[in-house]
Amino acid sequence: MVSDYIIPASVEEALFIKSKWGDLASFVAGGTDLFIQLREKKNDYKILVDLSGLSDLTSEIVLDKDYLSIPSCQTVNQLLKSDLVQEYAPILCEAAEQMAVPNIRNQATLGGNLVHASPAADLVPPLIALGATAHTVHPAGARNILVEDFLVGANQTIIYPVEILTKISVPIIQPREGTCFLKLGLREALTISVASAAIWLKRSNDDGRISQLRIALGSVAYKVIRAKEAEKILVGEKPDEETLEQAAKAASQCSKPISDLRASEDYRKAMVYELVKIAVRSCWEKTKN
Amino acid sequence: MTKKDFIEKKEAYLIVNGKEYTLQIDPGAMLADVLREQLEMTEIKLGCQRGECGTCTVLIEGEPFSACLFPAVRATGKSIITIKGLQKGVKLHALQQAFIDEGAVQCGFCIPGMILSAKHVLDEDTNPSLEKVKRGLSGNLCRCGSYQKILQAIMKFV
Repeated sequence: MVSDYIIPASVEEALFIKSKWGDLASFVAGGTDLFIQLREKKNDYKILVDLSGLSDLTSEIVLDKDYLSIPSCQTVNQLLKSDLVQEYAPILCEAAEQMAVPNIRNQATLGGNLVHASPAADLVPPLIALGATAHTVHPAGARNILVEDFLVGANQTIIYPVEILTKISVPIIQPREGTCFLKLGLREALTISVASAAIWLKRSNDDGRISQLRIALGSVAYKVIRAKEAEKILVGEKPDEETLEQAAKAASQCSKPISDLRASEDYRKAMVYELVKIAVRSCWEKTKN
Repeated sequence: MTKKDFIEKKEAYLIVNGKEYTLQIDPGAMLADVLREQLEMTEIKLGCQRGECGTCTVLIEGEPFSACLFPAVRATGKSIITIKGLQKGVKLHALQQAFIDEGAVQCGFCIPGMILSAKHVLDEDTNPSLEKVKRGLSGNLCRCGSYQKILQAIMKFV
């Protein structure tokens, strides 16, 4: 049972409370996962430290040269409504609009989605595809960690117990780049992804080949993964049917999904193949603008 | 009561449908439970209690949230509207009347959530497409299957 619910006045105070109480205290951002666990008694929380209203974590999204700086407790809906995110990191909006339902989108946060680190988290594949960085603070200093390196397992990140994710910086989309997020679910809304793909690619100037790309796959492993073998096949090539076929197959092979109530392992692997093909084609079309 | 079981209540200052309330609440209580049990506002229904059905939808500072997942302590000082906040005494809000007129109400359980979500869609956009209305109500489930009539009622305002 929750014995105290604290709304700290600052990030420093939040860190102090957690240092003081150790395991007895838990940070909560939006809480759309945590409060379900609490109600259904899947987890017990004694002292909750609410980060969701902290001014440092909910300040404006800022364009800083080639990066969008997004405070960690910006809600999913705030991402969707942000002109800056729509223009400079549209793939995040593509993911945000397919997440959950309106009520949840008003409460769930970008930072919470990342730190909770569900293998099916929808905002994570776009962050990895874009090469985003997580910024944290802790009592002894601060860290800047590539989101890809931040996740280490199912619901596991390398965040310290007494550490807070303060913001996420996202490289903005540049000319000759295309991004795409595709989510496969069992319904049109309020559906946990069965498989998802987030792709960022850059077309080279002179000969119209793929110069760089990142393929991030969600819900098909213990955490969001990069399909690096597939990337190698596509870099330096034009995405013609044969190359796409090879890359999509490689992506499918590198995925390690489980069979669960939503879908079987085989189905998920088969869907990775389809999603990667469609997403790469879509990104390529977008580079032509 | 052992020391372990003792939960110190917290004071919450809630503004619901324009009226102010000061209450002693359990620190981990969700808004739905506080409003239903301590303020007898049973117009807020409990469905799934995990944010998946929209039955407990309330507007907080004008934005829709599932009250079953919203911590009451966090709601301090924020303006909360329940379905009863839409009507003025016995005079129903136009949306409420439309739902009745179009036959959208069967068992009635999903209706408060549906109307509040619809109000929010129309507050944001006075001329939404049907698609947009559907998206705005995508978090509200109706086991009676009144969806068509519900949408009909809302589209009267578009």
